[in-house]
Amino acid sequence: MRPGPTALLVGGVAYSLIAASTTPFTLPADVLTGLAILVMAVLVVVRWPLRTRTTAVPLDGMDGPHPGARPYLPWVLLLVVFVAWELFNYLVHGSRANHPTFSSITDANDRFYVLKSLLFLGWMASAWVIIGRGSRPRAARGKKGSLGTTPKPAPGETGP
Amino acid sequence: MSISTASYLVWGLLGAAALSLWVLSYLRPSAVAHPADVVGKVATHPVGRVILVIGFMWLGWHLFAR
Repeated sequence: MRPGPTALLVGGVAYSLIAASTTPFTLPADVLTGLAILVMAVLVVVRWPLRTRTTAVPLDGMDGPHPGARPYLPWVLLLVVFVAWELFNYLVHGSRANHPTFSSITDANDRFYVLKSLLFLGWMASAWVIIGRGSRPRAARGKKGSLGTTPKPAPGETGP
Repeated sequence: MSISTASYLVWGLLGAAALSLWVLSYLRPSAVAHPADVVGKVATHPVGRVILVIGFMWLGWHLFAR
């Protein structure tokens, strides 16, 4: 029997509250973070197809093809700027206070228990989305359609 | 404006840009893909999915354990 969304949310919140109470560079922090990573690894092995290929995943909210549309480009550009700014701050001479990295900002965030709990929960929720999006049913659905199109149901099959 | 303030300002702008793209993905899905679709695109790529999973595991370890 698969756990329902409420049970997952309650479990995730409880685990995040416990994990956020640990201190980095200690055994409890290693164990609780490592356990979450281990569960993610197991779910990836169990739920993801062994082989895949580049597929055109139908976009949510699009009802038809949009020739020339590059909906992924803004995110790619943002990622490039993010990585460039992170590397600049990491490599430039000067104090970390003057040149904060993403890690140093999250370190500051970790001083507040609730914020650290939310960050841990967000990390686990994001992992859940990653696993779900790469799982077999979605990967198979992506092979049927093309960018911006919704696969048509087969005769006798009801649509989504 | 101090160097520190300017640095945090850029981080803030990056965060605001991410939020804006997230909102735009609902308003104009043909122009901006929804974040979950971006993840789906990478998660179904033969090489991208390996980098995504290992990178995400490393991020958690880096942020919360080490």
